[in-house]
Amino acid sequence: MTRRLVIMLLPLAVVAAACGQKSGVAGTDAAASEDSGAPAATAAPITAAPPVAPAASAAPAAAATTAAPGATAAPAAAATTAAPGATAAPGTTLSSTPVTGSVAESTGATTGTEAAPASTAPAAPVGPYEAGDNDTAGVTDADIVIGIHAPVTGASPIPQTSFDTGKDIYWQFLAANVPDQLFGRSVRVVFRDDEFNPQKAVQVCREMVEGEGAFLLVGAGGADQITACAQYAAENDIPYLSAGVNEGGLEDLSTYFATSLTYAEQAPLIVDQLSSAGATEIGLVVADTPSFDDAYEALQAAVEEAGLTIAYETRINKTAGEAEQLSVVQQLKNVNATAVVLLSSPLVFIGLSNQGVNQGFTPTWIGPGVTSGLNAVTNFGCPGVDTGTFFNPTPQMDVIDTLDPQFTAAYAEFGGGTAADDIGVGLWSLNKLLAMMFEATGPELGRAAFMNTLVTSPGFDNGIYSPVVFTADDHFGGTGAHLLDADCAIKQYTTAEQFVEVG
Amino acid sequence: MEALGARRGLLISAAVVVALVVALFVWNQEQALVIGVLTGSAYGLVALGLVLVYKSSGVFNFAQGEFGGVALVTLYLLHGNGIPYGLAVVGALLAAILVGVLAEFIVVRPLFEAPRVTLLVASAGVALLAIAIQVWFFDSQGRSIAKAFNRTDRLTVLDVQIADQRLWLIATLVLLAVVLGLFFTRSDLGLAVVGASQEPTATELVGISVRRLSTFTWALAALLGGLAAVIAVPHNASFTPGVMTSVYLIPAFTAAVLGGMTSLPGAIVGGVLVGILQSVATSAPIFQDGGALAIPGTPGTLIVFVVLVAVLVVKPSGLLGKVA
Amino acid sequence: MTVTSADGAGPVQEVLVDDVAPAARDRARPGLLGWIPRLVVWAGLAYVVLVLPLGRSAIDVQTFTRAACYAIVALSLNVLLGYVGQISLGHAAFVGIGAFMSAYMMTVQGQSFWVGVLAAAGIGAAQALVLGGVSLRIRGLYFALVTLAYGLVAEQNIFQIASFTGGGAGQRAPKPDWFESEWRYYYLCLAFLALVLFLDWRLMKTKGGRALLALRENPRVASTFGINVRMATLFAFVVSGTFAGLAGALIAHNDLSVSADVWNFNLSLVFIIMTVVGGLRSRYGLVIGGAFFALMPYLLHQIPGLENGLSKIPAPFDLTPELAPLVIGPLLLLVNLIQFPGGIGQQVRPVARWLGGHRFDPHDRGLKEVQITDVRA
Repeated sequence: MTRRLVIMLLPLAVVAAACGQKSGVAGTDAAASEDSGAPAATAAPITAAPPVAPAASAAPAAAATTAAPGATAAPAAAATTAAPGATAAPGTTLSSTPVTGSVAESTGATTGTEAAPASTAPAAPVGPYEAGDNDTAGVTDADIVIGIHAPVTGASPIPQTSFDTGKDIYWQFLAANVPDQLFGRSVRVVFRDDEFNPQKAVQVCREMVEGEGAFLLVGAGGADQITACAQYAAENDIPYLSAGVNEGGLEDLSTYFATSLTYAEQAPLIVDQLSSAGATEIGLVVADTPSFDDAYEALQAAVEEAGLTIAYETRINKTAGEAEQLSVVQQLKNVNATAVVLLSSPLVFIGLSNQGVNQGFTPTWIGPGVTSGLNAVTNFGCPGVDTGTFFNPTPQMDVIDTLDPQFTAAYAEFGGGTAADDIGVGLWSLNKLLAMMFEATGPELGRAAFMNTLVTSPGFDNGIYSPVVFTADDHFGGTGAHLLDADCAIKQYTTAEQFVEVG
Repeated sequence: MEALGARRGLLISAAVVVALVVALFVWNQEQALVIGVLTGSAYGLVALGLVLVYKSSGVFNFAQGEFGGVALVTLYLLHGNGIPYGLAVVGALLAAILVGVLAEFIVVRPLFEAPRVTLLVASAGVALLAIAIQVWFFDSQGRSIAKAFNRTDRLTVLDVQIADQRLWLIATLVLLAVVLGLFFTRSDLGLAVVGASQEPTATELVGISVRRLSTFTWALAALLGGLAAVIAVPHNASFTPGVMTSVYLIPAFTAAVLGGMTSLPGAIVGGVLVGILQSVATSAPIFQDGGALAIPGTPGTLIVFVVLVAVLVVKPSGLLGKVA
Repeated sequence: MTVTSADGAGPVQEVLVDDVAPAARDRARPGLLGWIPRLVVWAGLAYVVLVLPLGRSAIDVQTFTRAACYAIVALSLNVLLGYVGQISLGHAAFVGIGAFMSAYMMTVQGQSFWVGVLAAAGIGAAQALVLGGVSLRIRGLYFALVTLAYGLVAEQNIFQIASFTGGGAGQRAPKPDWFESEWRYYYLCLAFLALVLFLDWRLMKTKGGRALLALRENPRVASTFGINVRMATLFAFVVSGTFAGLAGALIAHNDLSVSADVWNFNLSLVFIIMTVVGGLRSRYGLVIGGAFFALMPYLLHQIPGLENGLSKIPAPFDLTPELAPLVIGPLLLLVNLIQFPGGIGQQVRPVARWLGGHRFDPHDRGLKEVQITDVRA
């Protein structure tokens, strides 16, 4: 019987394989579009400043829009103060602090028109990106689809309910209050769990793009997963944004954009903190995934430059167990480290710090964000994490109201009873940034146009992140971070310093 | 002849231990000794349960870890709802025993006559099911349980502080080993259990219900598993579903095999040995990146594997076990 | 076959008849009229397997391909578990190393897909040979433990070698030149599945294969018949490793990227479950079992109302289609071991034999119990 099965199967398979090609169903089949780099039409000509949001204070639009060659993403800056503390009504300003910077950027010809108020102008900004076959996948006249992936299960879990509620709140708020900011489109957010596993991350990213039709992808956390998915995105000309993580493996990807400081960029900030705290014996513990190699070297270099010495350094397993944690803590204790620079997953941080407490060893644990600075960590990591202090793209719940009062109000209206939390802050800021980017790109929204906007804009400032600036050569857009301090008395992180900028 | 073999086994183990200790001091890794005893005592307690089940039904019980997992979750729920710690612990242990009895009833009884490996697979199925239900009902978030004893600086050995919770673990371990050892050699019930595993028919003929003994054994093993989890895990501040299986079970199996699957004191010795091996592998510079024998990833895993295979090839009955 | 004791007092040893040896009793062949319904069912099966995926999206077809690869994994594990009776709790390592090797060959060494697949099968065989050779003296339960520990070593040591496995973010594994679309790759994997089925069937017909079967029944009796127990076991290991490596390569290119975290103990258990639930030594059962486990989330999404029904089960969190296989899998395993030892293959056997031209006999169930050799150490 098996023989019959095999004999029937083989020729059929061969025949069918030959015919298999014609069934390229969805146009979004990224795999089938081998020629995705083909210079297709669209590459729009010139400038005409893409319209600033109509509800906006018109002043910015009229002001000198320095037309950088090709596009303007209505940097409109001059009028509005760039003060980060300014409560900017959403949809208005794309206030960019580096105003002077943008003048410098517009090298050469201000091609053609300035500040044409028109909303009808063919607004596609010109830049290094050319539209391919699937340039407008995920965008219709009615909506834009965004795909986010994050670890909800696995070694570094983020609470799912916070995510489920938080991802939509900004868009609901925008639809209710400033419906025209996105030129009549609404935003649909698709979310997938990547199980803290790069292979799965690539898979869910494909699902979101090919199955759900995502226009762009966002990685919410997990350096290895972000790297893997960003590689997939770059191969398929899909914009990919994430918080800053490693640089190795990401710096050559044309469609990757980091919206906050990378680990390596945060190294000098960390060392500054150490110097000003007068730390003497310093320990350095970094997870041993190769993605973190550049961060490890940057940290070593920064410490050396500041004239401090590392008393003990080691690479620790990504999912270090109790035995390894105990060993590392013991070594740190033996050199009497007063501060330990740590770059690892939150679970390892919790393990290390608590083993430290068990050994009577309580140094300052300091490091770059993003996931270690979450309240989920203080929730069950106390008392060990009490001496933890981490940099983070967003501030904590204690100051968000001064930076953006709409946040709490929106949660109250659209949250359906779920309390606002720091994950909500992160999602709100991210979505706000995306909204600014969409607005700057204009009504003719496509992947190439979007990315052109990113690299030609003087910058985006949503008031919560430090301003985000991209250039064609530098896709690491962070300019500063907030310093968070764990407080086990209230089992939360508080914001110790805001907008610590890279010097 | 057998006495000679047993004595030889003891001598060999003693020699190995002494050699190990000396080597560690020479290489400046003596702290690994202390750390190894601390982590190994947890493995030893889980291994006790494994040996118990093996002695009485010849089964490798893969669900031993998850008996502890159930206890952990119960403790978390009870304590989180305001029940005093001591009562919560008792409740957790009762829950573990309940699950053990259930597992015996649903899985072990129908497969009484089946090959032992089938039972191994079945117990693995039970463990997986337990983990899946935990994930379903509690999601994968980490959770923390307070320690029973908070003091950490009562005892310091070689510069390594030993928390009271750990002391409790070691004390429980030693006490249990002694009690169980006496139980199996002196008490009627214990002898019946051993007898039932070796000669079930004869045991039945004498009027002892083999089935009831099986239930009792599994309940006892579940109790041990629960104890291990409840004492060892709160020390580490957080746990996730499946932690008992992924972190403790395999080293515990290695410990049991090392010490001899039929020997209760062997389980403890094996546990401590595995703990020390892991600790040395993690901290000795020779195994780190750049060392002469650099091992990628987690060195402890490879070292433990090599030792396991070596023991099984050279002396399958383990250090203290008797040849069956 | 029975072996009678010396004084003729009765059978001492009975060897079970299973479905590899053709049933001698049923020689009747159906006439033309009998073949028509059979052919209709065959055509239906062919339609589902070959034509239906053409109308599906690329993501769905990727799941189908995974089903084919899991079927190959089930077949490979069956060689150890079903034919030899040795349990491997670290099979994810065997599959994973094939995946990494193929990705490495293509990405780092710049070789073609076919070289990668061959290398993957080769390293699967080599790994199996080494592991089998080392543990030849270790039987039964202890062997299970060694494979378990080996699976851990693979996950935490071997797959962490950055130059081989690409480090944290994994290794890229692009699809081969002619088969870049999901649909073409699917048919390619089907072809490989057919190949493995064929090889498995052929190998069991050879002398070595027959030796394996004798081995499973009783190693001691087999050796008295002149069968070299060690060689036969090693042979089975190598075959199992080869199939596993091949499956790994196919999975790698299907997923487009390979990373170490996937090949863990959980996955090994899933492989065991799908093999046992599929039905040991029943090829169609194994294929169905492997495919079923790979397709479970997809099926749960597709069958209308099932997803809603699952989420209505009272519990703090929903039983999502991603979570459900974790619960359903072990349940199926336990039910299988206790009640239906032959697995799906046993239940489907009457239909399968009918399709092959025999009479439809609902009582023909083949196996009586799950035969995994046990030797108390």
